[in-house]
Amino acid sequence: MARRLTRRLLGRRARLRWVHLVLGGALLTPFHLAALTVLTGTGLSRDIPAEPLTSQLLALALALPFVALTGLVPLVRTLEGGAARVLCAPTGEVLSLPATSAAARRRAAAWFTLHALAGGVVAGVSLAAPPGGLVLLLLPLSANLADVFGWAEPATSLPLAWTPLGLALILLPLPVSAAAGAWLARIAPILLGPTPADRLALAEQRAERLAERARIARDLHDSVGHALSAVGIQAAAAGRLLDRDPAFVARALTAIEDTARDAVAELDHVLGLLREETPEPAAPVPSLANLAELVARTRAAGADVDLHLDPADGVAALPRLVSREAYRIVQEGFGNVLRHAGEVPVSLHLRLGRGELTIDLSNPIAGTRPTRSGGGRGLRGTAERVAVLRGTFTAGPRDGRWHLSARIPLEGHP
Amino acid sequence: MSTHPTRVVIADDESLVRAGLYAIVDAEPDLTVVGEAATGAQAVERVRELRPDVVLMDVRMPDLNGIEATARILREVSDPSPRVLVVTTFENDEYVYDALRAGAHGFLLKRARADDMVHAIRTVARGDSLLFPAAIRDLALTRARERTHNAELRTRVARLTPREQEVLRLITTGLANTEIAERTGLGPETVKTHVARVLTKLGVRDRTQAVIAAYESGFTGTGLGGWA
Repeated sequence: MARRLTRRLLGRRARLRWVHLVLGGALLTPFHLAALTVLTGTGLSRDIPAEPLTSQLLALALALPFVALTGLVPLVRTLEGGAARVLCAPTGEVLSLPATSAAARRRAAAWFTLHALAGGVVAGVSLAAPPGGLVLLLLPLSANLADVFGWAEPATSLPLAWTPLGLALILLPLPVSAAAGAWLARIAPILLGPTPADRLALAEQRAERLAERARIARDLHDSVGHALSAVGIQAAAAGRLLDRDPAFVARALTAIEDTARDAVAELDHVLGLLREETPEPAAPVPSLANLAELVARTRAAGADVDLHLDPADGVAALPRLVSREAYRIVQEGFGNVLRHAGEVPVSLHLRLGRGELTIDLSNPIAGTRPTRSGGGRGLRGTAERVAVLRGTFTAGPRDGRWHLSARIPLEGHP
Repeated sequence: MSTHPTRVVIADDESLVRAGLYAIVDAEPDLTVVGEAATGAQAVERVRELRPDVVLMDVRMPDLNGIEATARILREVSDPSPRVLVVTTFENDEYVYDALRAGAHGFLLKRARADDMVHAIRTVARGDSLLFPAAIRDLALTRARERTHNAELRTRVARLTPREQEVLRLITTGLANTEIAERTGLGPETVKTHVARVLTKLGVRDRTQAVIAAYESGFTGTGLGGWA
């Protein structure tokens, strides 16, 4: 029993909570001092009975609204959440991210105020009570002490009777700190934890991610299923016509080979998508929303880009996947122009209509023959990704210009 | 079997599938492909001008899907109307049940063996019906449960004799006539007669439509004591 009480008052957790409270007191100090200065400066405190405690309390009352206002700064939750987590042993989840919503900021401000207030009280008690108690304990030994500490005057007549009070004052910070610490630990999760809105947003994010994965899985199942049945039918037909129509058999084998290869490429791509999803992407994936920057960069690189958007504001409402893919296509196209044709005028048309996005990027063919873009991540990769979105993609010369064209249906994409 | 070859139209938006089916079907001496279509609307058009005996109809196609194309063909092309075989990649495609409801005569999986495909075409061309595919049963059950049961069909099913109801129940489980004969201890000819009576009394064209009637009336799936 006694040991438990000692642990409660002096254990590691109690000591850390005391540090946390003193920290709160330290945070209060500048506000408090400023308020005191104002009180003395305006002469208000002179009219008040010259009780130091009264003016201290008055300064506190004046300082608290400013503490609360400061607490509304989003970054306060980062600092206070971190401190509470390390020092205060809170009873539930505490966030140390900037408070973004108004509700979260109000809660963080309430916490900041309570932390400063409780901290101020505990710090004050810790600073004032033990020395006072010591004076009372020493009083029987030296009556002169009462001359130095005027407040001890009443105790001089019967100093020994005040000894218990002196002991109590020395120990007073312990229960006060323990009680305040336990209280803060209990309210920390309420004021610094995720708000219901935070939890909802988190759950929604998770649900959205799951739905997107399910959609990707279903699309994959669909397209690979179709590819495999096409392969099966072609193989069956080829088997039946082996003797009679070798030309058909040769065509069927080529079709089987291509279909199988495309299906595997698509699997590869989608697996990549699913893997990319697992950790949060470090940088936001660029989409057509970033088109202006891309065009500006390309112009800066020397290609004179002529941009046509139809309708002008259409790209904003595009499904996310389509918008991202379109950006990558345009990026790839610009890159190819610069690599193969050099600094030539490029014309880019983006059209939105009939439930699909049409991209046409063209440039005059320069003296050198345009070559295939190098590596598997070039045009081929683009074609594969467009196919995943059920779109079509072509690249090639037409009427003396090199055209890169894509059509992506908008339906069924997040 | 008639002396002239069975004329087939193939509707599928994937050219590879179309070409493959073409080669498989056309290689048979008694079958000939007279036309192809890449969309549902094209399919309706081809059927109108070519008057084939059998249509192989993909379910998912642009502009008009296989379900609507089937319904339109059966409504608009008569004397005789062609037999429609729904062709699908996935047995679990919920559209397949809709296509059967729309009047399709049977159902063909793209992964079926070539022999089974041509066998199915011959079967429906003859006027016989294909067995109701097992995988569709669960789909039919859920779909039928979501709807209110068709009261008219319900009365018709109620008018079947107990023996006929038993035969209907066995048809819905996908059994062929010979298997029904084994289960019931009836002779194959008697079973045939019972099946014919069930179809007549329900006012449906074939086994497939009888199974759909059984689901839509609530005869199958509701677990009513006297019914199933």
